[in-house]
Amino acid sequence: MKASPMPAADGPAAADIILQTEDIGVVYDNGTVALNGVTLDVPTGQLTALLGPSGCGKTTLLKVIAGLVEPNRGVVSVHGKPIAGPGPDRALVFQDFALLPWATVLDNVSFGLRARGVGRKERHDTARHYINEVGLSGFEAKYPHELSGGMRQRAGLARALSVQSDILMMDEPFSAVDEQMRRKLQEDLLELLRVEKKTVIFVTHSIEEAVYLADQVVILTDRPGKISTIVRPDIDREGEVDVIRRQPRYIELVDEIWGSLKLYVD
Amino acid sequence: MSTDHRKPLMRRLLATSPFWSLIFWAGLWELAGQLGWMTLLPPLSGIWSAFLELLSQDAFWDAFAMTARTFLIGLGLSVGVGIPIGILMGISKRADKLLSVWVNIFLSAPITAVIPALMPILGIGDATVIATVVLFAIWVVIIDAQAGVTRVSPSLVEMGRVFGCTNAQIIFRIVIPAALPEIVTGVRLAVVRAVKGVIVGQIVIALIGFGGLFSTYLSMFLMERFWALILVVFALAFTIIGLVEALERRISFYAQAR
Repeated sequence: MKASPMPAADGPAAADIILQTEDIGVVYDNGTVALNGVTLDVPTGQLTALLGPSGCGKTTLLKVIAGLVEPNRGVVSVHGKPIAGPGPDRALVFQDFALLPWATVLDNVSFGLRARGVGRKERHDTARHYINEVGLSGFEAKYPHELSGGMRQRAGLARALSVQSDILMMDEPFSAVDEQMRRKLQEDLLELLRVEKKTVIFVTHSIEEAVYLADQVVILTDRPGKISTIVRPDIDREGEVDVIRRQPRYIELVDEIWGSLKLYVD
Repeated sequence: MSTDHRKPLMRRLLATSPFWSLIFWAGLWELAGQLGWMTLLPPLSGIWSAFLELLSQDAFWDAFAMTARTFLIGLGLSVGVGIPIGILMGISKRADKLLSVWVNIFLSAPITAVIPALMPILGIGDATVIATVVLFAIWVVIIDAQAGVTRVSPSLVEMGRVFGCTNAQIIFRIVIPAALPEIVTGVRLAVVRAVKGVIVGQIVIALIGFGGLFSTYLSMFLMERFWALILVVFALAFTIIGLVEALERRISFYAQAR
């Protein structure tokens, strides 16, 4: 966090906090400690990346926030209220897409709305809007197996957007697609988030991805399941999305984070 | 083989070895019958005319109706009861612990041995045959439905929970459709077993349906009719199984895409 030119007022302490985790502890049935006292503030309207080596508990933390895993201790609160399981204020994009293979893109994208009892016409209209927004127009009637990995994840993203939750969670969303597609999806996500004002929490094992996308990078380590540092990449994201990767500050930060993570990689 | 589809149907049929195999053995059968090699084996041509006679007999159609009735009721019960039990065992560990031992015992047990015990309880009639069909068919339905449910991707279920599905919605909109290919396989295997069950049940009871006809023809040495009936039963079994396999191919089109 050296040489941060960012004014203190934009820091998490002063910004609006939409989601908080307090002293989260998770122990698996087999005795493995997955998380050990994770306290984290997620600022409204920002991108928070959970970064760390595999086995550091970052996906477990996301699932706790999603309400899918009940922590052994600690509380997750949204807007100051403790959560009890999944809720309409949070939507999730899955690593393996989790699309229904027997349903079309349109039906997959409108799945969340259907579960909420939204009528057929209305949910299809909403779904079409977000299918268009993620760049999948024309593929409404296709089945997941007819789509490439990148397109499947666009469908997963459209499904998460269409329920219009304030918080969008993503579990290694781009790890199952190839490098070129990953870059394209990252750029498209940044473009999309300029339109959709969301709070995003995403899990990644890629330092570059975290620095490129996130306002706040939470680095977790597996000794065991603790936050080691929080870095706020003070990168200018106003211009073209593909310019970001050429900024000296971007390269510097990637190196800095690698330096701190190197200790934990044997 | 790649040019096969361009040949006319007859040429393709002639090119298949089962066709020639059938012709060869049918010819041998006819020859053996005509030359009287075995007194209990009439020539195929005689069996064919016996078959045409059978079709004009009320006893045959009564037996046919009884077989169809007990088969359909028994299969319906196996599928209608077996699928929910299998799904329950896939979802609930407790139900699995309670039932899986018994399902596995009955799956491989020689059911035929149980039929004589059923007769005093259920009487000599439809009920015993239906029970036999169920005992033959239900276990594989349960096992396959359970396997299908336990193989559903956990992330699909998590997806349902994240988007606010109730447990019932998760079961009906995610788990059951995802387990459908396995469920359909179980039903196909159940059809094969039910065909065996309905015949074995009647034969062991030996007084009703095709079983009654078989024992009547045998005791009266009506060998043409006996063999005609056997071929009818074979043909029925193959037709039903063929239909179910065709149906399964249409339903499980998305199984590979999972």
